[in-house]
Amino acid sequence: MQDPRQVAQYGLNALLKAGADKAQCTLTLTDKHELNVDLGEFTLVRTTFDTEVGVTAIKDGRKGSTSINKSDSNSLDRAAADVLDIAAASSPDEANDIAEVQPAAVFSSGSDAPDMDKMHSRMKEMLQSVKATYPKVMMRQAILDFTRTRSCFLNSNGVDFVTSKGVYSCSAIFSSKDGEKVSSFNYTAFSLQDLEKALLNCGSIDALLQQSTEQVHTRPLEGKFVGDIIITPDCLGDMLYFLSYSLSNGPMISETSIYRDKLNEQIASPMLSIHSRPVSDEICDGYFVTPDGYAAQNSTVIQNGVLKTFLLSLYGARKTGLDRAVNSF
Amino acid sequence: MHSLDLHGYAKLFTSYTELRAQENRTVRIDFVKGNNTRNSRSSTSGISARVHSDGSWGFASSPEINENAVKLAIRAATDNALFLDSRERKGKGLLPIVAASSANDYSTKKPRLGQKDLVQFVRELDDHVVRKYPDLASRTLIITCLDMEKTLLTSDGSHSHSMIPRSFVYVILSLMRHGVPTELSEAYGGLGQFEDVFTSPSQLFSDIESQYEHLVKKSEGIHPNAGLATCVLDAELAGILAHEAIGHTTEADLVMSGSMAEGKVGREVASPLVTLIDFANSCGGKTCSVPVYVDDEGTKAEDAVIIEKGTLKGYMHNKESADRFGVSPTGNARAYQFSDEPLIRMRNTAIMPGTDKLDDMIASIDNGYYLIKPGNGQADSTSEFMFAVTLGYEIKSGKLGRAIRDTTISGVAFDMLKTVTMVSPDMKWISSGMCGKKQPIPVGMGGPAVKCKVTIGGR
Repeated sequence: MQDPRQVAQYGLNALLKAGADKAQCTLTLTDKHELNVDLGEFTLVRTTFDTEVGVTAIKDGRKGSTSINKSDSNSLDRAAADVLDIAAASSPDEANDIAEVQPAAVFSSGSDAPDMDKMHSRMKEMLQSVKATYPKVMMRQAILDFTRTRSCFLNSNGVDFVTSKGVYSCSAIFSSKDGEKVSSFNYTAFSLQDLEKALLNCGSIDALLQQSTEQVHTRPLEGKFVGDIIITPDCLGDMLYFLSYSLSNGPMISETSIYRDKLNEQIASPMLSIHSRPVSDEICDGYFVTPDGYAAQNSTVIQNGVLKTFLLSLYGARKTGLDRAVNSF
Repeated sequence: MHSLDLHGYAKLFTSYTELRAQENRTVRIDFVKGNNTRNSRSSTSGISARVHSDGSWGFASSPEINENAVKLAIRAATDNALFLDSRERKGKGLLPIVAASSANDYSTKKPRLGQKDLVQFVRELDDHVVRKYPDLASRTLIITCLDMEKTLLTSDGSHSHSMIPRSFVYVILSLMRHGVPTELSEAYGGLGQFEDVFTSPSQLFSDIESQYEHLVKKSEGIHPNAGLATCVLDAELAGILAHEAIGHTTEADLVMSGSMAEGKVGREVASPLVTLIDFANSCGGKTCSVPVYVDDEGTKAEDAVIIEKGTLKGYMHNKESADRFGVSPTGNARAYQFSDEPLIRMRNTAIMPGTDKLDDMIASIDNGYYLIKPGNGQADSTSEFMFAVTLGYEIKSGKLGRAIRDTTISGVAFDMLKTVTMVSPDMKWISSGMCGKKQPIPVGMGGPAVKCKVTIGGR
């Protein structure tokens, strides 16, 4: 196995040697072990190994980026030369920069390796439970995987972060059938630190399976409806997309965000608070380092309806003259 | 791609095996309001093996493309298949044997442009847009290019090599009216490397002029009246309907999981004016935007006729589903990355053209809508669909009226297709999107304009 730090250091040195004023190199090694179920039957065991080297160089205010999935020294040297060519082709921009130095840190969470037998038995147990409890359910697809990532983020300002994370993830797509009547597809996914609990007791899968069986016989709403609705946690994420997108680099830099001048103003009901918590104990699949090279922190985006932060990266912050979000992603 | 002759590894196959070397190369250049916010390239390559053992599949991949990586991938995939077989004991026997070969390389023969040339292309286009349309609140211009190069060898004798590129320029224009932003985006491009698709920025000027004119009208647009309406869905909307709402329900894996199309082969599911085909690689003598000649299981790709004159004729298959249905595989098994296993995916799905002129279709509607551009959409096993509509006009007394603001259409596709009463002869393909189903994959969608009844959102 490669030492991520050694490879990232070689990549960073190669960028500086190629002429970068400022540079960053991230190496991520990923191995995934996946059990697949289709139509209620085990169908596939999948094991993948991958490498990602992301390199960024800034020269004379011009920035270029590239990524490859090879980590030998020839490939890294070639990537360093390529990224300097890409930077030379870019327009100069004073907002281009890399993260300032922070204390070096090593982050880790989860296991180093999967328990394949336990994965198989937990999945089998879920399939048997679903069959017994919800006989109308068609388990279109279910996937249980264990993904381990090891990464190292280095930049020429001295940022030095090493991360190791192991996490189980389960996803399921299902519908219910009664004679010729079928329900809509439903889908859920959740991440787990370990496989101590039965999968049916995790996330909201049990409630959604129950609902699916009740959604076989539906009727259309007649006419227009104006009134209160309930948005469940399972669909709130989609609703939040518009908000998070509107607060991010693109709409803020192009000045088309409807929230661009609303910082510390009431933009939602006082009942609504939204937090972003990538490094909380209750989040097993969060992130420790932002893509621009900062140690991620928890933050509050909306507090009692008041907008507390935009979701700007270092570049977005320098471009707009606003503050960088502590956990931009 | 690092070239590697896979044939020598056939001796390592102990069971049904697919061995694939693949490289995906991308380019992305963004200009947001004149700022060159992104300038990047990436390359992802590696080798994968998939092994079938009595109904259980094993898959493994490695980012290296060399002899050692091939051996390791075959061994790990075989071990994975045996692990599952030892626990499941399905005893399903062998897959149908097919043998096909092809070599299709759509690489440009022209000298390749460098990153600097591509950045200059976008900069010139951006300069033109800002000079010609000074009242725009913002504009975003993006170049995206994807080359997918694959080499495949299977244990039943198939071998193929393909290099299928696509190149697009996205133009997103924004106007501010009364403090409210209005946006209209368009993707220009298609099959081919950048040099073969685009000659100069001026090639896009007239299309952008039309896009801007629509945007100005949209910025003063009205909300449609919500409810069931008679509409003309233009080609792009018909294409996305063909893909999302009908196509997915006729992928054999979704049929087996109980989609609305199950058990309906031979039954009338649409107006006799509707014929829907998933084309493998060419339509009407022209190469489709996502040509597939041999799929990632080594099956020769054939056109899959889904609906013929309103009657459901069949489904899209891989080897395993074809075996289960007792038909021939159609060549729909496709994988996105080297590390992805092939899934049943559409290729180029289209409603076939008719004979009614678009002007006559609009003239035949007293009170309705002409819907032109789709945004994101989704559909499910029931064929219920919901798509965003980002450009459209009201139809009043047979004539186009005011533009409408962003809205949605929804319905049950198999019901909606029974309301089709007119189909235009003009066909248009779109291919800038990615279809998502565990993995993303490039797909083509096509169609003429169709007149039908559909539920539209509004006030």
